[in-house]
Amino acid sequence: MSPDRGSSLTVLRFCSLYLQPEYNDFRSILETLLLLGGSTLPTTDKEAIDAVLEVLRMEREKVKVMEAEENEDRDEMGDDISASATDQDEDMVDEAGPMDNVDNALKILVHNATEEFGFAPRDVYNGVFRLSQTREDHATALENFDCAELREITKTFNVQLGLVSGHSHRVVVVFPYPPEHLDFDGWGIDFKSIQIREKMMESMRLQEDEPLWELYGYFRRVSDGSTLAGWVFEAIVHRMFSGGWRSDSEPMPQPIRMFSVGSVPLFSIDSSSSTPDTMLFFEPLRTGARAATRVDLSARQLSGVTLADDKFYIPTATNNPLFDSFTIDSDPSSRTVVISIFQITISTAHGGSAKGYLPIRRIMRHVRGLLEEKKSKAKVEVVYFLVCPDDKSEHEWQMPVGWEKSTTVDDHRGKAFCIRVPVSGL
Amino acid sequence: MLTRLISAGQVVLLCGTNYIRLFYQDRVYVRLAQFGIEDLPERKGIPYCPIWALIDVDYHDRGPPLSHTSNVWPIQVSSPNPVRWKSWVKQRRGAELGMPLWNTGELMAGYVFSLLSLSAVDPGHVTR
Repeated sequence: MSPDRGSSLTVLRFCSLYLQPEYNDFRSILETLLLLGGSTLPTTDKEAIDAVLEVLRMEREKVKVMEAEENEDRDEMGDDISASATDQDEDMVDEAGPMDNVDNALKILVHNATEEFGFAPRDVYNGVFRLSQTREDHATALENFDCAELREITKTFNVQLGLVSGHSHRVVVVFPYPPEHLDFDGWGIDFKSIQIREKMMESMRLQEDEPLWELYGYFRRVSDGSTLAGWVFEAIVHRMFSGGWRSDSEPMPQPIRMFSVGSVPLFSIDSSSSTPDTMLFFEPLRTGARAATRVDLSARQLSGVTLADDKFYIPTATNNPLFDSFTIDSDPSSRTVVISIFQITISTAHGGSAKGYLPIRRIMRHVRGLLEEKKSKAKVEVVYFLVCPDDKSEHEWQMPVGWEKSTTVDDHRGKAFCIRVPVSGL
Repeated sequence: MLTRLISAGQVVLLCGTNYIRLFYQDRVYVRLAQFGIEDLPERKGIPYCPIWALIDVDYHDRGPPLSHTSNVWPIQVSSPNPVRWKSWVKQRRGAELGMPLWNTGELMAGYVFSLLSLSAVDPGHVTR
């Protein structure tokens, strides 16, 4: 038996998407439309197919913007090709290739369904074959879903490992995770998809501080809710940074410089790093407010991003692995503009993906453009902030591979600081 | 799991909401689910030789109708809620396995496996 024949006998592949009853019809409709479409995808009368084509249109647009950015990186750096964004890239969509190929289009649709509805196969296949209806079902589930219901779901699951609410399976997912302190595996709860999480985070940011802190405290106490605690903490921090520091009883937390080791730095602080740093000309967290501003970092223009220091930017790109928000501050005396990158976490160690450097360089390029318009020669710097609860004394931030790449024109490297938010009163 | 066991020549019982299907020697035998999974064929000369029973039915709080005499080796898929499986898991000292979420590759292409990994299957059950 030849080795080839042997391998074909010993490996079997069972195709899930392709085994769905709707697959053949859907594929042939999609194929016809893509063939007709050429460079511009056509519109049809069928709502479901139109929704699908809209997803493909948007993805095509996103890829164009990404390619334009990477080309600019290349143009500005000669032969130093921008590899950082793709070094560790395992994203299906980036491997998909031309979108007019029906197989690639299907990959994009599956990827989109996972971003909208999560990774439960039933939802994903419904999200491909019946996108409009699946969106409606999830929108209905989310319509009246609030923090109280989220807490109730977690409580029920913590007590009896069951989900009670009729809508809960559209909002949350449970998954096993390895033991942290115990001898056995546990179950965790998280929002089902990136987009569902975004919607819930948006609604959390509109809540008052007190119920959010209470929710955070509850999720921290129950083991199933530790992932949710991270999201609530992020919502609290975003409120704090945009609304300004309000506490009379606690002094405003100050940034502490993190030590760095290695050419791709591992930033860290420990219990001895308690002295606030005075290197910064601005307060990343301050008593004054900054207007919370959503920015689509995959859009052609970052039109909402200005040089004003009264904005707190929260990207709408929902899957940014390196940072959660950013601000821009200017110092006329040193002719410096600083882009502050915030990563918010309740874990003691944080990593990230090289894909995160590309949007940072986009912001830098945009800021440079704004400065050129003003005939300013100010230099643009990036500073990284790890924002975490003060209940642990050691924190690490491992910068992803690609730190030293694509830095000739827009150097995304910078110092790192840690801001410990007081939670000990909980 | 069904494909995997059939590929390994095993006798398998697939328990659905309405029908129970027995996969035995290249044939499929069907009976209504209401008749349960008793009275299954036994292997001659071997008093205890259970049949794989893949159970994918929501029995709510009751759990699947497995009695002491059910000559099956159950594999039940369920939510983590113990009321759905504790009736038989404790009695038969079953293992509880938490399945991770699917990833994009699996959603596209399903499960990829090697037949070589089937060595764990009991060779006494191979029917061909």
